[in-house]
Amino acid sequence: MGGNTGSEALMSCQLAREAGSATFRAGVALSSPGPARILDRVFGRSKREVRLRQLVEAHLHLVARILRNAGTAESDVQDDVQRVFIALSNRLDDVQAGTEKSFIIQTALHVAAHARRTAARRREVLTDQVPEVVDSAVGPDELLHRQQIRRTLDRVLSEMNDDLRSVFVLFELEEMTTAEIACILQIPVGTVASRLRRAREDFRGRVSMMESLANSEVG
Amino acid sequence: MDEFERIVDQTGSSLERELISEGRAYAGPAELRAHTLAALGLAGSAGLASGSLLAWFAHKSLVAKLFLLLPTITLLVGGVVGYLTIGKAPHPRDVRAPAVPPTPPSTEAVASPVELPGPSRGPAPAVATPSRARNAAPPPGSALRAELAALDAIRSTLANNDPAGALSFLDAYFRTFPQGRLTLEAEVLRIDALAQSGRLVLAKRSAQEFLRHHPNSVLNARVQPYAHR
Repeated sequence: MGGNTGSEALMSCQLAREAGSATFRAGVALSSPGPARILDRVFGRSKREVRLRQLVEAHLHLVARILRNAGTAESDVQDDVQRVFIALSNRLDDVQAGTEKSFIIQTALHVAAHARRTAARRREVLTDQVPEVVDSAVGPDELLHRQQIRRTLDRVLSEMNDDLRSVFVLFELEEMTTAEIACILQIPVGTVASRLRRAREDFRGRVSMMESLANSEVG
Repeated sequence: MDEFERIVDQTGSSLERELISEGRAYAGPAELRAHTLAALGLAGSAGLASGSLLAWFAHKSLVAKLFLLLPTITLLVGGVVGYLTIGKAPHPRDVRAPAVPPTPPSTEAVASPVELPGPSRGPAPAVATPSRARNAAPPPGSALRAELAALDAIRSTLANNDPAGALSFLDAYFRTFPQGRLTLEAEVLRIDALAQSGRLVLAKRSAQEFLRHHPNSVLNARVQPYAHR
């Protein structure tokens, strides 16, 4: 990676935006055929309302996932998802078509950072109990195992530096490209690459430490 | 093309891959969509249903669309033909009355999950409800659906500039769902309705009370303008 200049980063960002805009237009064309527009008129929905609804439908789970993986507690995810979309609703007229996903992810990362700070303050008074996740579709052993994995992931990610975590979450968990991440975080692609390398080293170091600890306990 | 290979695609430790998979698989709490749409004031059950139906319809091929639309087209053509035929038929007063009187329409057919009183003016908003389901045990999730439908009706009434009707519906909503999951949204709608009906002092007081009781609610942004008026 390495020698990416600022203008290259800017150009890739512009390209990503144009691609995003085309995707958005395609999405609108797919989800808003003629009869939908007629129904929108019948139900008296404004263009703004239709746009907001489409964005919620398209990005709801992405927002929940980013919030959760970026440090929001399970019990706060629902409220924080609403916070993200209310922020989008308040600024919708300023957000250009094609840049909504970027705005939503930036807001989600910001809200998650705020949630982490609040949780850190709360832990001084309350316990740091991890809420139980109930999933009736899996057996108790599998459920317990998944809870353990989730707790481990939460611990590894929470110990990571904020900047590294954002890049790691977007690249490894959201499967975004480094150019897309550069565009969203508004940093050069080279910075994304170096943060990603450091984040992976951090992640791998912590995971291997946990594995060796677990092995020594078993042994 | 990205020069970095992702951890799950590498031959690393299984725990690493498991952690990444867990992070990717997170889906969020149940009813996330309904609560988010409600918080944004977009919780129209009719709209939601039509939206998903239309999305499904949009993905069908042209032949499939024509096949699906055939009954509708037949009905429309039949309607036009019927209308033209009736236009040529003798006047209804000349038609002999039927021997058996028509049965009155069933009240169950218009039963609503919320006992909504008649609005002061304007048409009653349609509240989606299964008839004959009144005495049966509600299926799981139907309570939230009914709440969403009730709030949708209230919102439509407000949009039709009928704050008095909306307030009547809100009273019915709070009676029907005292422990409802969307009561905060309903409280915000009450404040909207009070302000729209010109009861600004009461709207302001209610807004201030709302902010005092729910200082961290995500709906505060919608209430704050009334509190500071």
